[in-house]
Amino acid sequence: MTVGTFDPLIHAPNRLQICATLDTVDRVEFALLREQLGVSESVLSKHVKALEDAGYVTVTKGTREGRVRSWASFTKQGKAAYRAHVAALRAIVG
Amino acid sequence: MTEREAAREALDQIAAARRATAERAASPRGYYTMAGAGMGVVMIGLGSEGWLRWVLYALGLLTVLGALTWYSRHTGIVAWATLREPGSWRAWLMIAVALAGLGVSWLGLLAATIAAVVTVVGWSILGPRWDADWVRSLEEQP
Repeated sequence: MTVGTFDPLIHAPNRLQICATLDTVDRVEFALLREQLGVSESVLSKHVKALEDAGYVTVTKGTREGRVRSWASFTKQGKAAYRAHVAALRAIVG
Repeated sequence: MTEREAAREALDQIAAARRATAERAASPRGYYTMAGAGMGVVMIGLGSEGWLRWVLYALGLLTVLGALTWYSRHTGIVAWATLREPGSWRAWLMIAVALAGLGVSWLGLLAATIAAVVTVVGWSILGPRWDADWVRSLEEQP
């Protein structure tokens, strides 16, 4: 049985939702994350930056219709940390 | 709130985020028809001769690429299925139809046209059903 590792960085509600979204698909546009979390661009950027600084997330940028669009995806380390965190939550719940 | 209650709430949040993302990941209506049409044009290219063949190759590949771009713009998501999800037999069948179509298209324009029509119809029917199964599988936490 995997006990997992509780990760306080991931556990913050907004970051937990970002990670749950990134774990579901391969790459997500910031606009979608903003919409799902119901937060401003600056709040989202702050949370993504924290995950990026930890090496959990990579951000890529592209231009479409004259606007810069940002996309986020999990790194291998980020996915492993998130899965370990979920395992820890499940172990706590029992 | 106890530690156990907090953990339960976090797991509920995760489940809700997965459901919301899965709903969003569903492909737009007509996506598989467009992708199938692109494959069909490539097949007709294989059955054609001269410069027309190359024009059709380019047109078909651009149409398939256009469908992929349409998906990511429409959903805000890039996702690659592993083809191991429940219901992925439909995806494998779509691949088989396309490969068989590409194979017979070398026989000539008539065979290529029939293969193209079968591919467009097959993908239009199988694609959305596979998509629905795939979206359901995304909701499940691994």
